[in-house]
Amino acid sequence: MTPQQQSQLIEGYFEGTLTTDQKKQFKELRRHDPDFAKEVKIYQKIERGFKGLHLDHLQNQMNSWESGQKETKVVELPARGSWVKYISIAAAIAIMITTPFIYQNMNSNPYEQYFQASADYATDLVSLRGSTVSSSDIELKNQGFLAYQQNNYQTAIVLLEDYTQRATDDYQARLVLGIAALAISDENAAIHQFDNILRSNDANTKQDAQWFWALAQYKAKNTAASKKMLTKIIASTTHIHHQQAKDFLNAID
Amino acid sequence: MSEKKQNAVILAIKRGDNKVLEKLYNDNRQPFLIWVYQLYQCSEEDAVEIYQKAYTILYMNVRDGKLVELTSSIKTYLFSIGKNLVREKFRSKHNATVNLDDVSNTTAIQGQLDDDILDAYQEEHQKNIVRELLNEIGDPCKTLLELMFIKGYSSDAVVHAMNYSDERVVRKRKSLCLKKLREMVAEKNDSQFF
Repeated sequence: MTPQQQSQLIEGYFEGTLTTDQKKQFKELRRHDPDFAKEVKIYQKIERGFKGLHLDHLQNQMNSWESGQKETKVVELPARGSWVKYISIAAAIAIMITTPFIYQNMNSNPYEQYFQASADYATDLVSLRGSTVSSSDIELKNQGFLAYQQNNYQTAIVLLEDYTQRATDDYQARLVLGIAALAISDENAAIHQFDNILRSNDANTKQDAQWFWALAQYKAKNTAASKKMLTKIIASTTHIHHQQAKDFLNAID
Repeated sequence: MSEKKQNAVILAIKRGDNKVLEKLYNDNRQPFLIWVYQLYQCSEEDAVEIYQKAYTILYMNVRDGKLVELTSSIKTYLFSIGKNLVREKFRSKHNATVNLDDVSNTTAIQGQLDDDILDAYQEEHQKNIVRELLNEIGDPCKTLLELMFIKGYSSDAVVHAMNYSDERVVRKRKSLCLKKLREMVAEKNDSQFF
């Protein structure tokens, strides 16, 4: 192997571009050729030095972006006990501000018209199914639901994902998690949560899960799957989303 | 943001697209800081420090090829890194509203959240030696290596910045410059470097 080929091998290794055979060749050479091993060590140190300087550069960039953010102060939240009052005020203001836009967009997109991440789905703040969940998990769920009610869907997702990993059979939390995912246009994550509920046949959340599953599939451009579920919902005259499903199917047909 | 768009962002980070990097930073900063405040009631300074560290880990994971495709949103990924950092930082803080030990790091991305990786690159001596080597090697190697390894330019961006004919020339030049650097290190025989 020429020195040039050796250099290419070393650079390829650090760039992560070697094939399986090349990796094998690299390992062999490193093990049996002390000069090659020394070259690798030198390159490793240089690479680390460069990465350190690269991180310094990134830090400088972040600091300059940060200085542009100084005028945008983060609103500090009040003490937890009085949150509900503030959430209610914020929600009222949000409704006042967004209502005209919602109205204007009513007829532009059927999905936008029918998808609503209602706060009602996250009202169970104290009770909990199952006895295996710890008090700190209950707190985690409550925080997740509060974040959802504040339309802070990303926070809700982080907290509820954590929570449902332990409270696997809390399907209400899964429903809220799915709706939150849908609210941030992460349809795949939403469908995953709704699938989980539908597989469980949890009576309390099944009908909501079916409805949101249909919406999520439509948003994910799986229109056929969406229509199939909507037809199933419509077939059940006592389904809580019977009329919505009927209207939505008409709108997308 | 759709999965396709998320992965386009990953590619843009890999390319070192400054506009995307800045937008990613600015778009996620406010929700992240609010989230940290809500959970841990820390100072703004602490929250910004955690955010920057989370952002840096996300960035390095993409650049190092540990994160090539997202299964969740990029925001979720960033928040998951942040959650682990917050947990570390406030482990002993009593006024945390959530039991921090219970905010466990159970997600699949945990293996990629090695924040010690940042410490490994902070050895001043190694950085100083590389700085010295760059000054000694001079141009065009100095500019080329700075653009590629410190400013994170892609080969394509270097073609434009240095008026080379194509990316093959950049790759060849880069290889020659790196070889020269290695030879310079070997000549120096700096025991502290090893």
